[in-house]
Amino acid sequence: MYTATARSSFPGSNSAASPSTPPAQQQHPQKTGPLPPDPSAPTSKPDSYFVDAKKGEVNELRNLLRTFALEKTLTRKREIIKKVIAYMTLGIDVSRLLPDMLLVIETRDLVIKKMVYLYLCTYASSSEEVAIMCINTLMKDCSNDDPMVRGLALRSLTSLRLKSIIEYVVEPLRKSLEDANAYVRKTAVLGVLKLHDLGHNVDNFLPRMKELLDDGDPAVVYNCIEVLNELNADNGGMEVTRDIMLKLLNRLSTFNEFGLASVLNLLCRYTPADKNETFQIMNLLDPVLRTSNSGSVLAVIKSFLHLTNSMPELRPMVYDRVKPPILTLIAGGGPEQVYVLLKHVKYLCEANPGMFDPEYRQLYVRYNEPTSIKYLKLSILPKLASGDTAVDIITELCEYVSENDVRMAKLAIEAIAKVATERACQGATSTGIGEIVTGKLVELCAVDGGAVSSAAASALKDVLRAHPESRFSVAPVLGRCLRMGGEEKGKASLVWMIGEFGDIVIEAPYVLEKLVDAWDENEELVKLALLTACVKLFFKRPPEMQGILGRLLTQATNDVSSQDLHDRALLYYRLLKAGPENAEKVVNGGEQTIEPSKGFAEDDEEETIKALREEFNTLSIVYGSRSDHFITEKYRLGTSDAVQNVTDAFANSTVTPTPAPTLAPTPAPAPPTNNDAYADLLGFADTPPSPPNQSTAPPAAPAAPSMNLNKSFAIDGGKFQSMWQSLPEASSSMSAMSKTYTVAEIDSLLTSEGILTMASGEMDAEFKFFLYAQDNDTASTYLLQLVIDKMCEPRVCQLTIKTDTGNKADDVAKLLGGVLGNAGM
Amino acid sequence: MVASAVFITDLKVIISRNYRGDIPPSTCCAAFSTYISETDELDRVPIFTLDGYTYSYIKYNNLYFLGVTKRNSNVSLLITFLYRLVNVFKDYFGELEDESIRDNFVIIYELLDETMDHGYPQALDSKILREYITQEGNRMEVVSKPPVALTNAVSWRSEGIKHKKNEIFLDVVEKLNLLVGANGTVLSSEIIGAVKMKSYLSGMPELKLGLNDKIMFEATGRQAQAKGKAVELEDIKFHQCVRLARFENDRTISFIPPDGEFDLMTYRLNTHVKPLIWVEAVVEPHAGSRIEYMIKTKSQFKSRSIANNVEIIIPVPSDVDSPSFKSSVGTVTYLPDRDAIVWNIKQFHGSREYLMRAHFGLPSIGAESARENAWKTPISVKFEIPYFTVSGIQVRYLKIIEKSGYQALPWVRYITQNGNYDLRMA
Repeated sequence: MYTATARSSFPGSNSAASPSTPPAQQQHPQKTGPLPPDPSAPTSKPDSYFVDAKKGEVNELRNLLRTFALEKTLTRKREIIKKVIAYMTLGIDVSRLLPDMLLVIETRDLVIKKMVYLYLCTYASSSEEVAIMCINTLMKDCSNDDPMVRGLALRSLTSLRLKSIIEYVVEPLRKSLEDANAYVRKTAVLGVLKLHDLGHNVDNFLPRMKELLDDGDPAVVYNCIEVLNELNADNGGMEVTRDIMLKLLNRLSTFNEFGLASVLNLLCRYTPADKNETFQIMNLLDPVLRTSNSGSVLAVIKSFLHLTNSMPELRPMVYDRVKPPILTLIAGGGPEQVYVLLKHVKYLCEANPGMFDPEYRQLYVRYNEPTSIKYLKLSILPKLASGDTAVDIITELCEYVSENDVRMAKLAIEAIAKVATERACQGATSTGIGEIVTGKLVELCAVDGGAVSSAAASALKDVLRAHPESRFSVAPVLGRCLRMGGEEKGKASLVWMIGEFGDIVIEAPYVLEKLVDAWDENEELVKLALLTACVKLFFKRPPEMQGILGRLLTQATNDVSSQDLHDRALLYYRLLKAGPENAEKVVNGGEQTIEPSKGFAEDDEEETIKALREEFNTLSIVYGSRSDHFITEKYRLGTSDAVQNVTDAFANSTVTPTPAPTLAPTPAPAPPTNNDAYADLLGFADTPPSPPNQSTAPPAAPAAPSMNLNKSFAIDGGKFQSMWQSLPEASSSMSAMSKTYTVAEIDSLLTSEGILTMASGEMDAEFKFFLYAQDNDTASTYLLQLVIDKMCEPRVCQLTIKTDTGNKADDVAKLLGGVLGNAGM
Repeated sequence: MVASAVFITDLKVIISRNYRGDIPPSTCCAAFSTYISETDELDRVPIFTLDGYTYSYIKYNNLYFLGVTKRNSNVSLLITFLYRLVNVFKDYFGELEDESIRDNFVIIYELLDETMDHGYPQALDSKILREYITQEGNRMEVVSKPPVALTNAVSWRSEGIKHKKNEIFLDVVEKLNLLVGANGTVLSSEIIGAVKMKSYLSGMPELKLGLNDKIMFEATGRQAQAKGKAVELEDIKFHQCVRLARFENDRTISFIPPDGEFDLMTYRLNTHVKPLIWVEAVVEPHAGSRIEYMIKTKSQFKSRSIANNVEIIIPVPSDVDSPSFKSSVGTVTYLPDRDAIVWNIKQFHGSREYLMRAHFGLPSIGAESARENAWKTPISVKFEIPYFTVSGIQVRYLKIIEKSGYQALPWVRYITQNGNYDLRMA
């Protein structure tokens, strides 16, 4: 595929040609294809290298190579080699020319040398035995008089990636580390890493490498730092001592931007001796903010954040200092760079609310920007709104709504809502902003009955939860908006609001009635919302709603299109049957509004923010998630102390900070009208429907199963074993554990609940338990096998239950899950 | 930061270099091509991770420069590296497109090898690279030496440079970014300035640049003298040759310049600027028959300055036909492919006001929504005003001292251009 694609990219190349001509043809090159350009007429136009990639091409090349020695002028010699490289570039496999290329290696021409070395680095691994023949020349070149040749030879020698030649490389490498020329030394330093990557032990080089940290040439030092970092990747990087750090900092200005960034990276693992030293270092770093390189500027910011870890009182000054450089870079950078910088701005806004507030106008979306930047700015703008600027920002966001791009419009609407639901609404101006946002959203709701009004309706719902006082201005238009139609999500939101504020929406019952009567025309989300809305409205306006609700419940329980819908309708039905007073308590139980200063729970990312500070100026900020979520383990840095602390903090907290890739089953997709009160109710729907003869009983008790286990029950090992072997599996489940226990802890926790241990043991990768229990009510016995994988983070446990007569295997599993604090068991 | 491989691709690999051998190049490139061709342009981001490989790319002309890494790399540095690589190539080959890459593949390989080794960026200064990687490659006779600059403290300048005529050209270029709301208020305005130099000086000259920098005036107690003329530069960034510590101390800009072209410094001013060229549009649509525009433009700078090559670009609906224009000055053209009319005014003197009327036919049935969107595209303006800076920055002196004691002539030019200059339509 690779070959074909690459070849077809050049006009005139014949993609049907096969690069692997049978070996028999080697001596008799086919004459059917056009001849290669006559060697006596040197090609003048370079693009002709790519045009005659025809059948038999590699053989033609081989013949050409054999004339190499006969060619008299250098230009023609070069042409021949250039042709080989051209084929290589096209993706044609020219590895079969290796023996012929080796004959050419003895050349004094640097251009040819470079090309041959490049060829070797690409194809040496295809035929190790043949490639070894080049070693002599390479080693000889490593002691050439010309430092360029020495460097080139050494770089090629170390880049061959052949294990069999390591023994030949070590000596030239050792010599080159002492070379008088910095160009050779810097190549040698990287050579050490290349050997290491081949699996060779490079400890012998370490003392010399440490000396080279003091080298006069900054490029050597830079390579040295990076190599030592990689060699010590398990410990998070090279060892940083005060001596090394101060030496590096003192020559900071000699490094190029990449060297600078790597020194500053080291600094983030160094703790200054005292406050004085901290200040000195910060003064030293300050000028770097004047360089026009975003990598260095971000590195300084990270260093500043690190240095002020113990002095939070300095943080505001730091933020003040670093803000102008970031804004300048954003104003003048290329789009990709701006994208990265804006990601950092977004992070800084989250970590340090208020930092960019005065600069909100500079983050306005411009018409010509790439969408990646537009969308990013839309997510930042609401974070910048404060009492004084919120109105400006809302007005600006409204400008984007009618943009050509529907995605943009939706995001802008979400952003408008966020101005009201996020921190901006704190303090005295809070009500005002709620009103303004509501007003704008109501306007947008009535725009087109399409994507925009739907997005506005969903946003409006969120805003009203944070600002219930604005409901009076919304109530009159809800009915009209709903009649305009629109997308599923928007309609569902409107229905939710009508149910929620039904007491002030005069026409509420009649609006809902229309939808109920046209039941089958509604989408699922709308049906779900309708169910809830009608029940809520019933409590507020019973006489008007009674008939409607009756029809609705009949239709919903008979609706087979959705299990969720059916179950929820049944639930409401039974609740109401059990008495309207109780039902009202359940349905209207939870607080619908949200605490304005807190915002929505899913927006709360304090833990992530803390963790990301350690990974500032890396991919983690771009993705807004810690590196272990997207970097393969092998390529992660070892945890340094600082990072360790943070991870510990995570292990202890019960909240999973970000959507972690655990094995826990994902929660059932929540309907848009979901909130705490409903979540509980919906929990019900998961329990198996009760048999019909129980339907007269009051609705089932709260979700937690009450098992009455016999704590003094005992069986012996033999019986356990025979039962385990004979009984079928009753239940099997897998879930993540939020805490980590020892074997003894689990044992005692379970015993206290009546789940007793038959045997337990710890293996390399897992804990294993054999448990048993007896239900007091039915006298049935349950046998359990619990396997906890301790290599996973969080730990994952697998549970298998067998029982003789019992039918509550799932309840036992729930009980056990509850005891061990499992997520989602 | 570290990159495993670098690709130059127009969705089919043109040239790639697998520095570390820890990624499968063809798979990665195929994955990248799939991403670009199958992701909606609106959803594309410059950095993404697939199967543990992180791709970050920049686009230049029709080419993608792609870096692939498996680590939690410092992405801003990786992108910086790619930008620098593009600059090096541009410097070598002039305009950079797929043809120039293909024509120069040998030298590209050499450059890829010198600019990065085992995934770590090395020398990326094209002036230095040029000294030992040349297009001609005729160095059989001369023994090549790695340039001293590679190992020198003054890494941006080699010793022994000679010019017959010692000259230095200084261009102060300011770009005005402006956004005016539909109601005529200035929503945001900022000045991005740059002091660009072209240096043709022999030896190792020491240069000192004096500006009418307000903070420096204050520091040296010249406030009174410079009243009203001093400029407060908000955020200054310098070329690496400028001695930053010295600037921090006494605001002196002193440096040894690289040879040839470079940007000495850039600065940003976030001040309220009166729009230099003001445009007002009155649009009268008559649905189903015609649409009329009346455009008024006004130059709001001193009458002795002249804006050259002014282009006022006004968006129009996509389905208009039979254009006719009437203007008091300049020429107007309709560009159907951009859905816009462009009003060209070669010379626009300060404090003048001009009018232009445009008349289009509209099809009797047409997409109303397409017309709606046309209003939302802002009017943009292009212009160039020589001998003028919006910020008022001035070069007061440029001292050149070289130990051989030659006399060198500094030439200074000022110019103000449009940056991102948009006026929203009502």
